[in-house]
Amino acid sequence: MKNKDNDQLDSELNALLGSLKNAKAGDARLAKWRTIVDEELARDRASGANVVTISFNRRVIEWAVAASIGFVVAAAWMGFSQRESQADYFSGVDATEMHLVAKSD
Amino acid sequence: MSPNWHSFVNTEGPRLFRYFLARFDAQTADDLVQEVLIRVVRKVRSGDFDPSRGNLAALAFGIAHNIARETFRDNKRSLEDPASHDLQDNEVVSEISNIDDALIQEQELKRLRTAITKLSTPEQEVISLLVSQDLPLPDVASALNLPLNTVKSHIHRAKAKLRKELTISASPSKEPQ
Repeated sequence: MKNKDNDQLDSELNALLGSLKNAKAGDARLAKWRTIVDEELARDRASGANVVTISFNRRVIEWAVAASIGFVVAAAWMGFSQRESQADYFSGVDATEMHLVAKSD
Repeated sequence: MSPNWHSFVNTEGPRLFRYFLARFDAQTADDLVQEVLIRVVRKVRSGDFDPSRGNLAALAFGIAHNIARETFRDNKRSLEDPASHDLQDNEVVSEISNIDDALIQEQELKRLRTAITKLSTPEQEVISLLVSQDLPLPDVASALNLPLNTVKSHIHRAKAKLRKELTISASPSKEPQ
């Protein structure tokens, strides 16, 4: 029963709205819309490629900065540890022993 | 994964065009279809919408619905000067080979759209959806987020108004505009 109501509704509406329902977009419009979609997809891909390039460049810079900081820290640490080992070597020797060693030489 | 965009345009483009054509002139309808297509592509490409999990047509009509509302709200492109749209509407019927048929259809289209623009906004939305695609009423109701009975009452009222309006405009003696 409800379907029948809907069918009647549709048939009357179809009759009233016929000219709009039969309106055609036309092949030219369809071709234009397809082109617009293609252009949008191409633009999107291009901007995606830019994002990739930018992020790659940025990553290279970040690695370079991190590597140089690492180098400085490592060099400082090596210098410090070298000085510390020298200090350890001479830590048990007092001034008299140093004097005697120097005299015997 | 990625939808077949050309077949999407071929299927939904004409439907979207009719959807907008119910309330706007052919040139504006054309522009708005383009806007919908671009927004759909962006939405899908940005990953906000997964075409394998959702209905792309429903997304397109959701966007179309919002654009139609925005355009009406802006009140820039509404059908206030029907005479200015005569030329643009010629494009819609230009593919009809018989010139008499084309003229008749052009006049019909103009009359019908003028009548539709006199309906209330919810009635216009229901009629636009019915024109654009042969949706069952429950689908129209869910598309517009309205109860089915509300949609039916909108249709009944719209139908009565359209019938009246089209009868008046068809009568030559009552055609002062």
